[in-house]
Amino acid sequence: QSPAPGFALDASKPIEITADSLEVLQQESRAIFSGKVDVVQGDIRLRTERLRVAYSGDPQSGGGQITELRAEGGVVVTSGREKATGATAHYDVAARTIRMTGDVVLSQDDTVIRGQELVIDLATGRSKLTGGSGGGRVRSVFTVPERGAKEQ
Amino acid sequence: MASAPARRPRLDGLAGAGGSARDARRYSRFVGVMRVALPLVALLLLAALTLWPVIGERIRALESARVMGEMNVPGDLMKMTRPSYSGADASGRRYALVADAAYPNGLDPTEVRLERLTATVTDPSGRTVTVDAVRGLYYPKLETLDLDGGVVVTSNDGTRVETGAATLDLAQGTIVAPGALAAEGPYGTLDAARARVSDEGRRLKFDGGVRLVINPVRGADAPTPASGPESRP
Repeated sequence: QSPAPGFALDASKPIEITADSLEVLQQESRAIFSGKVDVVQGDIRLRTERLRVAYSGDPQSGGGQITELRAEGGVVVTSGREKATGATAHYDVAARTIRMTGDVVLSQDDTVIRGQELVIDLATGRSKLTGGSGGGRVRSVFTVPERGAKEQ
Repeated sequence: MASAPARRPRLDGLAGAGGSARDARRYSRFVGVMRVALPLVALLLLAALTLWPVIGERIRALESARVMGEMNVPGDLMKMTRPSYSGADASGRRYALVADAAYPNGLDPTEVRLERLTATVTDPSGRTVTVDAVRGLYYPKLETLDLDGGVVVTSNDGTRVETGAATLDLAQGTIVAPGALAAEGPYGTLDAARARVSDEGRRLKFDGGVRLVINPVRGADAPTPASGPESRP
């Protein structure tokens, strides 16, 4: 029974995003945060070097939605004692999923799992780590707590 | 962008003796920039697109305004009280600019000092954007407007933007706020150390640290509690 992060997005909490700079490109309906980007919503935090945001709709007509966030340049997602790091992350707002790729490391306390792709379902909090293409095996490292829990 | 106004706008002495079509175009560009810029800030708030500097307070502590030097208009020979300028452009956008007083430095002024000015733009959909500034310095030849002493931009969708000073380049269609900027709207708040709107409002750049707080979507459905880890290598 290998632990995995229980990321659960609480959409009722405000989102706070800070970074060094932000550029909004209206015609392309997108924006780019750059430099020490830090996104916090409730218990979930995402830090990266560059965050691209795509949005749809037009605020003048009262519509407008963020459709996706794409983090590049190294990503760290944390939630309570769980942490996931990777090269990139893609947050699909409608599907409420985060997909991390590139040397993904999943850790919870001192249990570490490595793989190539991690998909986190923010609505249910479940996540799936796969070895990625080429059938690379997922390498898991477990520490056996004192009470001698069953080792995988 | 230069949509010639449908009706000749009434010019009440703000930019020199007789109002010219060129002034009308300038103001319609001013309107163009403002009309586009503010929805972008609203969109910005909506789209959760900001960063903040180290902490919000540091922003408020920042000396926001680049204080304009003591303006001396030689002789103050000309003073217009309650000058106002209003007009509409081809797309039915109405605009008005009113100041408590204006001091052009001559009949064909290169500089018009404005005190307590309010510019209002209403587009056909009824959306209104208002810019209030304590002081303004309008350079007709350069087609730039320096606002200073505190600038507040509000719109009837509840968005409010405050900064110390702003420079509008009507010819280039840019707005630069060199100092700290704080915006608030139905969607949340936005703080930035500097802001620049260009390309007639289609491009916004905030830097020196940006912070955005987006209010949760009303009636957001809280997710089902995580039912337990599951990992299939």
